[in-house]
Amino acid sequence: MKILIAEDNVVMSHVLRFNLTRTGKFVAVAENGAVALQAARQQSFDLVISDYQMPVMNGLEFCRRLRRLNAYRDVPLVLCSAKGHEIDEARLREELGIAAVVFKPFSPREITELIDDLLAAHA
Amino acid sequence: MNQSTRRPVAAKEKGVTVIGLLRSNRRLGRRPDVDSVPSALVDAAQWNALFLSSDDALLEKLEQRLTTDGHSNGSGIWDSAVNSLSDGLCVTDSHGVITAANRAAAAIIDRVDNEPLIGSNLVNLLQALTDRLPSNGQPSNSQVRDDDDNESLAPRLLNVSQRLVCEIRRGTETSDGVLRVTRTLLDWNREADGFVWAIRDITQQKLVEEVREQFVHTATHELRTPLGSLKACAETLALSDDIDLEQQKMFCNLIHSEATRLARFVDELLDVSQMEGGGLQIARQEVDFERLIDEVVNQVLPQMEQKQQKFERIIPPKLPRLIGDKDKLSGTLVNLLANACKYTPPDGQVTLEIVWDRSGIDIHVQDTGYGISETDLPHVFDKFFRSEDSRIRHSVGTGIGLSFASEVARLHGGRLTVHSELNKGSRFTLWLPVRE
Repeated sequence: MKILIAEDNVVMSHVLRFNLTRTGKFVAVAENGAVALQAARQQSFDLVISDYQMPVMNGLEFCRRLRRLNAYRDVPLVLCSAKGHEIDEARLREELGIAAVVFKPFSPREITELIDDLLAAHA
Repeated sequence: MNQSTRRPVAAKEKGVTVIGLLRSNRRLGRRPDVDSVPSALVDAAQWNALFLSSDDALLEKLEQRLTTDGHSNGSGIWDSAVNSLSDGLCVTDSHGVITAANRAAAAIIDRVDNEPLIGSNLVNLLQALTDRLPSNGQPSNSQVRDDDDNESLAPRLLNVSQRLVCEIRRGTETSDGVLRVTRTLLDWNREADGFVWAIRDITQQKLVEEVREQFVHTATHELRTPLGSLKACAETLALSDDIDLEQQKMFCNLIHSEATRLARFVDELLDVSQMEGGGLQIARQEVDFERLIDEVVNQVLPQMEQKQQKFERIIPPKLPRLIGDKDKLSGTLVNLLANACKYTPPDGQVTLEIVWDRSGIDIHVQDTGYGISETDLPHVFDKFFRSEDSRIRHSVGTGIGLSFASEVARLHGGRLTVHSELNKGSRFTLWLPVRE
């Protein structure tokens, strides 16, 4: 299983990569939405995790553009956001088919379990 | 008798004057000399005044004196008092036509023409002020909350409810602002005869509130980000039985650098509270500058390595003796270097260069980063200033660091200056005097 992570916070991407790799996934990390979009065009991923606030291209814009790519029309998308940024979860689910919104700080165990569930459901 | 107004006592004499006793929630200065007041109040024809007090007993006495007292030769003291207020005070009839106004009202209302206030309609004047707002939608100060939109003020301002408080936006030649208008019913003989208006310019207050809100927002973020990382790293370590030594070390290093970041932010908060509460205090101690530089560099090096930036130091073998505040100088230099790292893309370069002679020492922090635009440049040392540049807007910061740094420089008898070019980089120079 291949997972793409768009996250500008180096510590968070380390932690995510480590925990997901340990459960047997291949993980690619991109530091912003634009880099992630390029990675998504070059290879295929089974699931994409994106941070909401990122430089150059933020998570929302990245998810929008990703959905326009044929190969990513229904790949599970997980959006991470800091608490206090009011995001309209229902609208995101409807508009972009976001599978889950995870609020930081999240527990690595919870997120790996969530990813496993999403991948199993999508398989 | 309602809560905010007492039965007014005075005359409608020679056409215009309204005099009243108003129960106020605020005390207006010193408790006045009761005996000197009534004659002045009664002299309605010469000046327009309201007597405000929160002291019921005093109002009672005045009322008695007013009804029994005959005539007076007037007294300028109440006139002066009302005119000394920084809030605008107006008395109008029930249609908003002004029958009395103090000096501040004239200044705040800032009429386009120089028509006298008396006889003009206050609601129309206020309406004219809001109409002067930039027509292209919202003014820049969009945080302002309106009770309603400013389309038409008349129905809102002239309704007959007892008391009305609202904020209206005001446009002027150069800027826009906010007025808080408090209106009280003036009920002579229990009939609504008109209104008493207090108008306060709260533009500055609004700006302060806005800045404070923004600060709390960024501060929360600054605290939460490293905390989230700490939590995630610690939990990963705790949950992994099969983690190898190398990886353990990596997570411990991450925890260490995030904890350092958190500690630095707490120091910054302390600086803010010191700056707010009467200024920074600078210790005067001998500073071992070579050691200070080493400590500072060790603090910021991990961040630069993380971003794969090149760090160069050009430091002469011997540095001068310096008297100053070691911790604050260290904080200042860490801040300049951390900024250089933060606002320079990965693979860029940060240079720390020190040059000194007998009069002083120049510490240059140069980067190959985003640079600062000409419009932002004059404001980089302003407290809480944050650039709107899209490349850095996502990054969190409180807008404290540089204002603190320049204050520290000033208190050491030195100065902090900046040269910057957009897309090329910035060069901050801290100059400190050397005392032989």
